[in-house]
Amino acid sequence: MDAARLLPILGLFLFMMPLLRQTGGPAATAGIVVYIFAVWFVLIILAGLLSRRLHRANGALVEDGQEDDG
Amino acid sequence: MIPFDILVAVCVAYVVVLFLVAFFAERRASAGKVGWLRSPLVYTLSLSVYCTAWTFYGAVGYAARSGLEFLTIYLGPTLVLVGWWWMLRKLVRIGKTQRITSIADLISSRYGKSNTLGVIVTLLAVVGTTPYIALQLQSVTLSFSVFAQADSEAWQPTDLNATALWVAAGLALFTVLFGTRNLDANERHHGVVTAIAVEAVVKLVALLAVGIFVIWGVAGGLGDMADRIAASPIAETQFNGGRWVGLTFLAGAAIFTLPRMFQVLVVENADERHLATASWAFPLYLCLMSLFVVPIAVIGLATQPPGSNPDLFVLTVPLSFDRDGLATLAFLGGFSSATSMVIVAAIALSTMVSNHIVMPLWLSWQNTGATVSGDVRKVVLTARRISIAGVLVLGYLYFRLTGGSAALASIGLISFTGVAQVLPALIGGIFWRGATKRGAVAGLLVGFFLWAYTLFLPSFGAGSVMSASLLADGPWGIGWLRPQGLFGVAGMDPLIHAMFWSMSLNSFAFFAVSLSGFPSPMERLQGAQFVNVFEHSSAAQSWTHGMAEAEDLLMMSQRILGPDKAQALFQRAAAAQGKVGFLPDTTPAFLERLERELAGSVGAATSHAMVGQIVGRSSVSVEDLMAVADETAQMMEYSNQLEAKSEELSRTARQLREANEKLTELSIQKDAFLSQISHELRTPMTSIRAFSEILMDGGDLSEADMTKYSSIIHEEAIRLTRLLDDLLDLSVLENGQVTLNAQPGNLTDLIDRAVAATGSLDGSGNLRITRSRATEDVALVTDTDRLCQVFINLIANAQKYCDADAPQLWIKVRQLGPNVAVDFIDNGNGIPKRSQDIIFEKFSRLSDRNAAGGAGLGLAICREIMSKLGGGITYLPGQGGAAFQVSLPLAKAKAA
Repeated sequence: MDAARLLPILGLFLFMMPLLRQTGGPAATAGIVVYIFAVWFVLIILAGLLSRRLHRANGALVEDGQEDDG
Repeated sequence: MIPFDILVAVCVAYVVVLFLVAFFAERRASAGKVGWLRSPLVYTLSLSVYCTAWTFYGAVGYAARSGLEFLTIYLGPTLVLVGWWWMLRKLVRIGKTQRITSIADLISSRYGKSNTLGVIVTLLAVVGTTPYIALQLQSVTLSFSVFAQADSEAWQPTDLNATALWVAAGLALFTVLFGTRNLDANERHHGVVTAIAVEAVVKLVALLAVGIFVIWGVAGGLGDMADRIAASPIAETQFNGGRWVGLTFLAGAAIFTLPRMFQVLVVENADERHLATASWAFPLYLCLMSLFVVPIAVIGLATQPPGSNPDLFVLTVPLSFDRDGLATLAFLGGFSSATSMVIVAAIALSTMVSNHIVMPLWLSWQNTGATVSGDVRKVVLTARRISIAGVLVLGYLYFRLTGGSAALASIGLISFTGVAQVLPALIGGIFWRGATKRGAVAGLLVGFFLWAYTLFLPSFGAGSVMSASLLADGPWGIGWLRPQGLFGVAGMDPLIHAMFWSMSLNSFAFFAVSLSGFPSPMERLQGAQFVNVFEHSSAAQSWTHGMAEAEDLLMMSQRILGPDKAQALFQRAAAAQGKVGFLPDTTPAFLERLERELAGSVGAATSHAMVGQIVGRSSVSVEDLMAVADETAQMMEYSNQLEAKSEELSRTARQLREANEKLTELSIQKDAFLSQISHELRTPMTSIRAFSEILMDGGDLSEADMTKYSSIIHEEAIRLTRLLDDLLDLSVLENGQVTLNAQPGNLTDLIDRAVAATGSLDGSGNLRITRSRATEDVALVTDTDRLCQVFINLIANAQKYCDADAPQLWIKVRQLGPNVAVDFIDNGNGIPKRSQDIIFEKFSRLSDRNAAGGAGLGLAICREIMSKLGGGITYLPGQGGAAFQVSLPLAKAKAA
C-alpha cells in the first residue's frame, strides 16, 4: 500500500531528472527520449504488479464499499 | 489521391458504425447483459477521451515546434494514474457513496450542498470547454481541407464552415440520442462509453500505423531513425525547465478536473477495481500514443515543403507518399479523437448546466414548490438535451468568431489552466476538513478572474478584447498590473506566468478565507464524510424527524425517478422499517437515502432543496456533530451499538403500536358490523314478512299488485342470498378449502370481461375507463374466473365510491420485476391515510353511503383471492385518487 503511494513520487523524480542537465546537444535529445520512454515502461510494469497485488490483498475491502450504492 | 467524395463516404460510414455500436451496446445493457460492457478494458479505453484531436494532430506539431515538451501532456496523467491510491481511489469512492454527477456537483456537495459553488464551477467549465470544442471542430475541418486541397475541385472557405456545422449537428444528435437516455446521471451511458472505447482503439491503431510506416517505410528502420532524430531541428530545441514542470503539473491536474475526464473517470466508473487496472493500462495507452510522435515530426520536417502546417503531418506525410489508405485511417483517427471528446464534454457540461442552473431556476419559478403535479423527469431531460445543443452551438459560434485562427492552437493548455482552478477547492475538500464554502468561493473566483485576465482574454490577441496598450502598459498605465507581467514579474512564459499567479493566489485565497472562518454544521458533516470516506461510508443524518409527509415525498420522487423506481424504493424502505405498504416512516435515515437517490438524477444541491421544500427545514442535531467530532473508535462503536439497539426497540414498538391500532380499529369495525349485519339481514327480512303478510291476508289485491309484492319479496330474498354467499365465499377462502381452477387466459380478455360485467362498457354507468390495450396483452395461467372477480370488484368500487364530477378510471398494466402489476386508479378523493390500513379487512366499510349497499366484504374477498393466486393487492398512495395495485407473479404468467 505504501509502495503504491510512493510510486508516483519516484516517477515524478525520474521524469524531472532531465532538467538537471544544463547543456543539451543533439545527441542528448535522442538520449532523453529513450530515457523517458524507458522510465515510462518501468513505471507501467511496476504499477501493473502493484495493482495486481493490491487487488488480491484488498479485494474484500473494495467489495465492502460497493454495497453502499445499491 | 483519394477522391474527396469517397473520403466523405468513408467518414459517414464510420459514423454509422459508431451509431450501431452505441445502439447495440445500449440494447445489450438494457437486456441486462452488461458483461464486457463494464470490463476494466472498456473503462481504460474510455479514459482515452483525454487524447483529443489536439493531442492526435497537435502532438506532432508541438514536437516539431518545441521538441520534447509535448511529452509533459502525457507524463502528468501517467503520474496521477500511477498514484491512484492517493487521489483517484478517494474520488471514485466519494463519487459512488455521494452519487456525484459532475465535478460541479462534487464541489457543491462537499461544501454544504451549496448551489452557488455549483454555478461557479459550471460557468468555469463552460467557459473553459467551449473553445476546446471549437478546437475539435477546427481540427476536423482542417483535416477535411487537406484532402480537399489535394482534390481537383476548389475548396471554398464557406464550405469549411458548413463542414463544421454538419459535424457539430451530427455530434449533437449522437449525444442527445445516447447521452440522455436515462435521467440518473450516475447510471452508466453504456452506448456512449462503448462507442468511445471503439474510437480509442481507432485512434491508437491509426497513430501506430502512421508511426510504423514512417520508421520502416520512409526511414530505414530504428537505427536510421535515431540518426535522423539527432540530425533534425527537433534535437536543437532546448529544455525549458519551468514549462516542463508546469505543464506536467497542469496535465496531471487536467486528468481529473476537466469535466469530460471527471465524467469518464468518476461518474461512469462501474467498479472501483477497474481503477487498479487503469492505473497501469492507461499510462501504457498514453505511452503508445506518444511513442511515434517524434519520428513522425522528424520525417515531416524533413520531407514536407517548408512552411507547411506541422499540425497536419500525421495526414500529409502518408499523403505525400501516396499512401491513401493510411491517410484515410489517420483521418479517421483524428476524426474519432475529436468526436469522442465533444460527445463526452457535451454530456458532462449538460449535466452540470441542467442540475446547477436550469433546475434551481425552474424550481424557483414553480412557486407552488416541489409538490406540483407534472413530470419533472421530462423537464430535466429536455433541459439536458437543450444544454447539449447549446454547448455545441457555443463551440460552433466560437469557431466562427475566431475564424479558425491560430489563436485556437494554444487553447488546449489555456483550457487546462482554466479548469485547474478547481484544484485547490477539490484537493482541500477531500483532504482537509477545515475547508469552508467561503474559502472555496473565494479561491475559485480569484483563480477564475486571474486566469481570464492573464491568459484567456489576452489569448484573443492584442486589440481584440484587450487593447494593445493595456497589454503593454497595464490598466491605466499601472505597470505592475500588466496582464502578462503581474507584480512586475516580467519575461516569464505567459502560460507559466498565468498558471503560477492564478494557482498560487487561488490557493492562498482558499486557505486564508477557510482559516479565517468556521464551516457551517452542514459543511462539517459533508466535509467529514468526504475526508473520511473510507472510515464511515454511511451518511450522517441531517434531517429532523417526522416533519415530512411520506405521501408528498412519494409523489415528488415518482416525478423524478419514475413511478416504478420510486415505489420500489419506498416499499423497500417501508419493509426495512418493518411496515407493509408504500409509506415508510420519514425517519432521518430514510430522508437521507431518498435525497441521495434523487441526487443521482438532479444533483446534490437541487435534491437537497427539493426534499427541503417538503420536509420544511433541515437541521443538524447535536448528536450528529458529536458523531462527527468523536473520532475514538470505542465511542463510535458504543454509540453504533446503542443506535442499533434503540433502532430495534423503536421498530418493535412501532410494530406493536401498529398492531394495537389495527386491533382497536378492527374491534370497533366489528361492533359496527354486527349492528350493520343485523340491520342488513333485518331490513330484507322485515319487508319479506310484511309483504308476505299482505299477500296472505288480502283477497282483494289486483294482479299487478300481487306481481309487484311478490317480486319485491323475490328481490329481497336475492339480496339476502348474495350477502350470505359473500360471507360463505370469504370463509371458504380464508379456511383454504377452495380449489383453484387454473386455465390459460389473456389479461385483455379478463379486463374486457370485467368491464362488460360492471356495465361500464355501454356507457350506462357514468364512469369513464381509460385503458392501454397494447400493454395488456399478457398471457396468464391462473384461475381466470377468480381473477376476473377481483377486477369486477375493483371497477365496481370505483363506480360506487369515486366522488369526482366526471368519474374516471385508469387501468394500467406494468411489469414490475418478476410480477405483472395491474393498477386501478380513479380521480376521486382517494382513501384517507388513516383508513388505508384497514380497507382490506373484513366488514370494513368507510362511508355510510347507502348507495354503496355492500357489506364491506368485497376487498377482503379480493385480498384472499389474490393471495391464493400467489399475488397480492395493495393500496397505492399518492396517485391523485383511490388506486389499487393487483400483482401476479410473472412466472405463472409466462407458463402459458
